[in-house]
Amino acid sequence: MSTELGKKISFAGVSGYLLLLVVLPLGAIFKQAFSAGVWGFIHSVLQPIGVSALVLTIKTSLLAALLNTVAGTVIAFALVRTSIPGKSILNAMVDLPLAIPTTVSGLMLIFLYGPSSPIGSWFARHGVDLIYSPLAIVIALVFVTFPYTIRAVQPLLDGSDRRMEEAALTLGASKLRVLRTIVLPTILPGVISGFALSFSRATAEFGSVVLVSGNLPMHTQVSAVYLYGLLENYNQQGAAAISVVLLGLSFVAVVCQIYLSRQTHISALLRRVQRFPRGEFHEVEDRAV
Amino acid sequence: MKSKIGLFSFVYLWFLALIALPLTGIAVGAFRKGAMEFFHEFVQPGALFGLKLTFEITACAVAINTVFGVLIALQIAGKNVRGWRVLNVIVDLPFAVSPVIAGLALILVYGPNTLIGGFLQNHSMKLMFAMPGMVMATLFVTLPFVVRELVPVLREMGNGEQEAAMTLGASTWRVFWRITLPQMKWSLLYGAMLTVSRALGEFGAVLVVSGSVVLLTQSATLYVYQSTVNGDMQAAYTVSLVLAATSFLILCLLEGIKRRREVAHS
Amino acid sequence: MSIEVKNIVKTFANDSVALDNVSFTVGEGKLIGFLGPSGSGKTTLLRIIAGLERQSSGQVFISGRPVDDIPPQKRGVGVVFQNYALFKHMTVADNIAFGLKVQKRNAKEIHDRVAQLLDLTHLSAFASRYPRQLSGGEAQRVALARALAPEPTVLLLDEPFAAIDTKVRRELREWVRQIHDKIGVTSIFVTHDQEEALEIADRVLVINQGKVEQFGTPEEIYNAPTSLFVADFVGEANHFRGTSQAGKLTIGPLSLGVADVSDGEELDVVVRPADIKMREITSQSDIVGEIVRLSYRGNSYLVEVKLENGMRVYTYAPKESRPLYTGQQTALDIMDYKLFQGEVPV
Repeated sequence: MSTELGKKISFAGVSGYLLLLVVLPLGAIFKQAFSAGVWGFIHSVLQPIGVSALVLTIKTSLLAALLNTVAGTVIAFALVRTSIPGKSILNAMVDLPLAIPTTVSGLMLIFLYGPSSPIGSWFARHGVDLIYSPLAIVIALVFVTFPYTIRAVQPLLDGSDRRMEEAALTLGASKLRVLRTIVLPTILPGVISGFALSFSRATAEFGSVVLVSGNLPMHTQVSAVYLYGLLENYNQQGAAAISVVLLGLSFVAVVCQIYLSRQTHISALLRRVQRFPRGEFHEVEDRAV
Repeated sequence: MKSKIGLFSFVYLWFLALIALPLTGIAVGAFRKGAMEFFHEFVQPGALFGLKLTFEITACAVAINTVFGVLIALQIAGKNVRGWRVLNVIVDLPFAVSPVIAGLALILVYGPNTLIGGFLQNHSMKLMFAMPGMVMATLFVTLPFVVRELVPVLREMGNGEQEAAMTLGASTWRVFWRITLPQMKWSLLYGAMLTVSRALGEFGAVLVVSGSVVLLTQSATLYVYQSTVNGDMQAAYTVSLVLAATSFLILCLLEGIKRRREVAHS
Repeated sequence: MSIEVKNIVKTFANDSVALDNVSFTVGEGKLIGFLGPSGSGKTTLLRIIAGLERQSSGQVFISGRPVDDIPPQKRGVGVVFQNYALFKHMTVADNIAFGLKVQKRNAKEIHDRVAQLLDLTHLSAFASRYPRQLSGGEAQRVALARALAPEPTVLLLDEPFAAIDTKVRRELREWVRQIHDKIGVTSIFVTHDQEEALEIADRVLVINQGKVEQFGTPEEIYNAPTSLFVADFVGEANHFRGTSQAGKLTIGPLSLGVADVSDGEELDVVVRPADIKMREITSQSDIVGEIVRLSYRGNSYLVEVKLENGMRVYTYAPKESRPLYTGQQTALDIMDYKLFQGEVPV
């Protein structure tokens, strides 16, 4: 049948595109990383500046993800469950960090909290450097990952069956207990995936951090910036090695997230609760967000 | 309701510190020396070229990734080829990859010293350190958007209507054009807008891939970066404001599309 | 247009066999039912005839022409799907007109034909409605009108009434039969509801696990089942098993004559509830049982009787019969039964 052939051609075309754009380049990273052998790879990874950058990256990303997850959950709650004035505007603003170029974000933060700004100089006088410091990195990362937890938790709070909560109330549970035993487990998958996403995104962030951190090696230089530095010095092998480490970090974050969300089996239940497809496509497949 | 007030204050404070203030900050920074100065910076050749280049790259990237996005989404949602799971995983990869890594990856395969890059160079086709390379970098980072928007919609649609159309004599193209496309048009538009937004803002990958040569391969975000590094803050703020305003506009459009989509689906 | 199916085999990627050597012929203008339990392969068979799926081996002929290499677009087959598959973004009229537009008929022709079909299916008032504004029964009528619009040579219906309320279902199936008689198009419909198949089909193809059990008229299927499966699946059945001994089959208190069978053979017996009669106990040799349950059916009672050895038997009691109550002792007469050795009737 001609449609069979058409399907095969289409698949070939699509595969070719993905091969050339994604698979080959990513493969080349691995090849380049190990082009000086395993020892070469390890040598590049263990460079003290690089290690310091990695430690800084992980620390700041974890902190940012944590702050974001906590604040994000609270905000998601406020947006879905309360009648906070200006809700629709706030809701629309949530996506702003996703839309704004990262360099512009960095610039905005410099303008607002830099040493020459009123707020920045006030903090500086009290010994806190808001820009050109690790704190600056955290602030930038929190901005950039702002929407992730909110958007991950919102649909769960929205779709969460109020009837479950009402049933619990009629059975005598206090509001706090309802929160703890029903609402929290329901939103937990969203919280976890929001955290993982924030963390992943934070480790990858470059554009804003490169502007606000000052990029002092061993002090305020994150891995992505260190990587760029290696490239500027024509050290492709080193850069590729660091890339492999960063990709590994992302991978670990995804694996942890999948593992943790399996533990909370509510997520499996929620997959069933999602709209039942009409037509012959079968299960609703959840994407690992 | 003390807790409510506390909650609201926290929310407002967070939004203020992280979103509202920075946004107005850019506007203030750009117009600090007056509207004339803003305009002067705006018409600098570097700024204009950067903006023009950015919009060109974005247009290319959106066009290509929309077409391929539709094709990929059809294959993943239809599950009618055995490798669809692999497609699914590959499409999500760019999300996990830092933009500088993406840039490096492309240079390693298509740079002037490589097999493919060298071959093309000999035929006077330059990929890396030229606009095509920047388009490729943008394609890489914006790959998932259209696909992720379309797959759930296609899955919910199911196969039934397409099969019905086929039994009524419609060719594959007709089925797509008259049955599938009309029903996914809002999601397609949304995905395309997300692609535009991301493409406009792309920095890391394009930086690595372009060499950031002034007036040749320096896009708007690269111009902002270069200006900031050079201490030319006014130039940076000016172009930043243009980019931020465009992003804001796109955001409003996205909200609008989201609403239309919800209405269409009820 | 007759349909001939020859040695169709369909295996899936995981080596499961959906259809195993299926062959049959559908005469022109007939309405045939594919009857079988879920997973029996009947829908797969229908989809292969429609061209929506490809068989692993075997051939399909429509009007004597092999259609295996012809895509569904060109087979001239109209399909009514289980979930209607109406085009959600088009009105009822546009849905029906779709096939006609593909055929590039001119606007007037299309308009007239759509009006004709709307009239035929009593949907004229619904022309500008959208599918989401229709009930199940209305939606299915639109699906039928849409499939009939381009004048297909074959009409296939895949469990068309599965998602519809019972009462509407009965009306619809009658109505499909009427439409079929009026238009005369060769039709096949798939169902798991044997009442439906028996009621409207000219002939019924009973399928189980990918194999054809029997292909015959409703009377043949019901009264002369050629396999144990058919006897059990079609019509209600009491199903017992026993071993033959000296020309008799003794199962608990039941003793049935089984001529022509040697001793020691394991036999299956199927007795329809309608073939068991209850009466007052008159003699010692009566088969006696205790009524354990009475289910009111509106026009009769379904009676569950427990025999001495614990076996359960179902029978019917008309509304006006003598008063019945649980715990009551009653005698049973077996009027008719069907015997099977292996899967084959004896």
